[in-house]
Amino acid sequence: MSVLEISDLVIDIRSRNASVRPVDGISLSIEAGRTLGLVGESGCGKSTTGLAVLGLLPLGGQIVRGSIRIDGQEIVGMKEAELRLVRGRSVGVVFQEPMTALNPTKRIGVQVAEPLLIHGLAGRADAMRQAIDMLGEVGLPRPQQQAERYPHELSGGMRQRVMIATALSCRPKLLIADEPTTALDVTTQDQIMRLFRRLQDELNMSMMLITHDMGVVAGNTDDVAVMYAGRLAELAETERLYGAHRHRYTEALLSSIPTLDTSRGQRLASIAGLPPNLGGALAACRFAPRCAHASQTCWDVEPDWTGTDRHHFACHWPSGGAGATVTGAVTSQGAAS
Amino acid sequence: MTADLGQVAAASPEPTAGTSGPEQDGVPKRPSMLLRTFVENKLAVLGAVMFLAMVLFCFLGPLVYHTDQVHTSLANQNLPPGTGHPLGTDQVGYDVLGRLMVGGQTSLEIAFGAAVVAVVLGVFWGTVAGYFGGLVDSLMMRIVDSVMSIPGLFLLMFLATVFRPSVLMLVLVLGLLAWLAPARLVRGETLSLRHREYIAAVRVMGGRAPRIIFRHLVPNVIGTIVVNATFQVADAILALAAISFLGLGIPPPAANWGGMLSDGLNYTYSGFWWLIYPPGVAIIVTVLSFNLIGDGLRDAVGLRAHRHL
Amino acid sequence: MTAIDTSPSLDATGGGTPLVQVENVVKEYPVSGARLLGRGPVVHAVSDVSLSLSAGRTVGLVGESGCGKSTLGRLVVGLEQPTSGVVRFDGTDVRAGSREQRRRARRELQLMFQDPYASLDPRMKIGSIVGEPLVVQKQGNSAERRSRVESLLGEVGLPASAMRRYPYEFSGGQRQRIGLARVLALNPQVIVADEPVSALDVSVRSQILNLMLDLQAAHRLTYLIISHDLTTLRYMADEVGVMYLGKMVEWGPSDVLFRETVHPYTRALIDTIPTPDPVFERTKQTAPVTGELPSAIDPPSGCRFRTRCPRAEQVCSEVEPPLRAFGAGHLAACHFPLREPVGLGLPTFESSPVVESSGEAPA
Repeated sequence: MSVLEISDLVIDIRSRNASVRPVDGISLSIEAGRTLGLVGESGCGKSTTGLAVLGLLPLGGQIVRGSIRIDGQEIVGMKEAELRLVRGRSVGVVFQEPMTALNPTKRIGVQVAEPLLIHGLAGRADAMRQAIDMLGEVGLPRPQQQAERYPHELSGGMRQRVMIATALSCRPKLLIADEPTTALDVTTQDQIMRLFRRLQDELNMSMMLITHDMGVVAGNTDDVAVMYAGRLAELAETERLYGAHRHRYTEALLSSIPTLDTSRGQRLASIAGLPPNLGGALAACRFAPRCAHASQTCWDVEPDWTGTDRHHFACHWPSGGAGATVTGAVTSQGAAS
Repeated sequence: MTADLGQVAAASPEPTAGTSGPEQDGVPKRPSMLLRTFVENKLAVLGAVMFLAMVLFCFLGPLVYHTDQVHTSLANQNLPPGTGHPLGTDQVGYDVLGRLMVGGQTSLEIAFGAAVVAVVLGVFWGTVAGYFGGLVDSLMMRIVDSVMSIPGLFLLMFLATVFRPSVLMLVLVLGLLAWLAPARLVRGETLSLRHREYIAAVRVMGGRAPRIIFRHLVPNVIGTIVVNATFQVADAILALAAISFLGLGIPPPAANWGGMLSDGLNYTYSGFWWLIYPPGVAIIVTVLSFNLIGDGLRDAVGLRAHRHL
Repeated sequence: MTAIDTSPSLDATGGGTPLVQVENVVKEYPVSGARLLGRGPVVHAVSDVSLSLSAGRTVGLVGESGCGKSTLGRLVVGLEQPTSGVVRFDGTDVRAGSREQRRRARRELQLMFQDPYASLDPRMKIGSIVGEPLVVQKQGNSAERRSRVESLLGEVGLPASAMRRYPYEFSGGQRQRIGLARVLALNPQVIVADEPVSALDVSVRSQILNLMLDLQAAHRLTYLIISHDLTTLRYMADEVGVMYLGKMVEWGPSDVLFRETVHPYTRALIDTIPTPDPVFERTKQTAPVTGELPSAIDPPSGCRFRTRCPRAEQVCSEVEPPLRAFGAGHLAACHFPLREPVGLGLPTFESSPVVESSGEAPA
């Protein structure tokens, strides 16, 4: 059984006059001990999806349909009281900005111990002891002394480690990391990602890594899901995605990233235009307006979610493989609602 | 697949603000959105209506309802509400309703004038102090602190003995006592704004302090200022009422609500309620309306934090 | 009121006087407020850095937080005064000289900002924002300015109708284009771009970078690009300087720096860049950089990188390594470099030698 199973998740955000659908039919799963990278650009819905797993929705947000199961337990429809038992215990979260995610008025030892106390897993003294252990685990030198300090006394990298320690203090089965290293220097990022890998091995923990950085995903995930404008473009094992991707957005994204081999002489590819306005009219394949390979079909007919066992995508004109043939492109179950 | 500028130019005319991309602090709302947020706030609308009603009452009222507010008529003193005098007459025979209108004119004029003086002075002081920082800031703020410690009332009493109170004098004095709060407020905002990149951009192109202050800092603190200004008006009305109550206001036959209240209170035990309640209610209603408007504006201008997760 | 300057930049290929010279520049900031007596602790933002820019070239500055690259960028355009040392444009100090000379420096040296959401005044229309430099420098009348703004917007790929709109109506990438248009208004020779694409989405970055390349070719611009992202600089820069905690630790032509890295910190930066190649990522062997960034108020003695360097030894804490040559135009400051130095040993003067961007035509 998967640790996390999301099925046809649809989330709306309603304000007084308008309704936007940032997540429109997402299905994915994560098995024990594996890491899924959820990538996409800003506005694609990846953060909303990830946080929905914890029952954390943006203001005005509502799960319209779909299911989220953590270890078989259905999250959608849970009351707040039930969700609180899940958060921190079965699922941990690491956010992007450690400064705002940590309470500036509490010592860090206390903050790391807090989940243990909330879930009744340890008494006060025992929780503090475990917290200090955890701070050592995440690589803070002299954890006993560090536990007495306040967040503002630590550097960005250290604060992020504290947040990781807090997230893992109850040994959750699943860790959701939302842009955990975006705000950090590249050398610190490297340290933190190594830390994640090590902790995952030790705790046999699953992880959902939400990020826009295709490089970070390449070295730290087992599977990758590419999101665009609220939908999944492609989902595959990491090596397959980078080596044998099919969806044109994946292709465009990867070719627009400069690498250490891209020097001045070679022109970098770029994707024209901007991500679509989710409140306006959308093409059936949402990437069509920016896709160099789009045809009229792409505007009118929503591409099927097709592929083999561990590699799926939704594209009428995928790259690689057998050219332009896609099974049953016309037999979709009706245009997007 | 390379993008050429033509392609991009075609795609870009559709602004996608508000959906894709993070929307940061300080993004001003469209005027229509401002209005809409304001209008959605029922209390703010109530405040605006009350204020409008009061203005009409004070300024258009006398055109419709004529009374003599100059000549006293001791024969008609302290008449209770009845025919000819809907709110009765006061101790020297003036019609109370009419006096309320005329008094309102004075009160509102002085209050607005004082608010304008306070805000203009406060903005200037605050932006200069905030922008230059350092010694200039310390000096200017110490001046603010010192002036703040002068008891306003005593100052007024002193001034009242020296000068004959007039509308202009009251406007100036009230304004000069009230500019301190906006100065502090503006200075605070300026301190945070002056490090914004768009300010640095002006310096890079060779722009200097006056341009930065007037064309970049002031427009960006306008939101806070407008909100503060409405509260200034409310405060000024109360201050004026207090002053007049103490007899330091404009002498009769000029009228204002505070003075009416003061005179009326002499008759508390005589049961002449129409001398006390009308000006009191007028003051309360006006002050309340401004406070409600101020609150509504504050929300509309978006001093609330982000709305999303 | 002077006419709007649209003349092409002076051509200075093949050597000659560098356009911008940074000479032994030091910048320190006091830590807390103003102190009446003596100097309290200071932040050593930039410590004795020298470099030069030749016309038409692109120089990159890379480093992590606190290395001083942004501060150096601001010093180059004259936005701040160096604590000691001098920045020269075309021979004259950008902060000193007559008023006309200083104004000229403001025109010719421009700075493009990182944060597209904070670099445009939210209360001003785009037309006013892009035209403001012309107003400040008193160039052109209102009609001339309007037409210049239109043409600038066209050059960066925005329609003329954008002039009447406000910044909030545009996305991050579009705002950076507006920032570029503004920077070009005075027809500068040198543009310092501070993290020009870091705040943008991945797919938009390449749009902006390509635009910058096009503009450089069209206007013969000289760029100083500051970034924490080496791959951006690999793409854009002819020469790259690596900074750490206020010091320049390595400098060289772009491909030489990447292929023949000398300084362990540069090596670490290159190694820790996540590449979109899963197989490579999983199998790569790197000597990790340990520990945390030291304080800029009290930097380590000797070589500032020694506290995190896998190769550090006793001498590194005692003696600050000087910049030495490792090839043509390739300099590094390290006691235990990854390659052998080339040339005649240590230079005779105390301060770091000037690192120069060569005046050859771009490859």
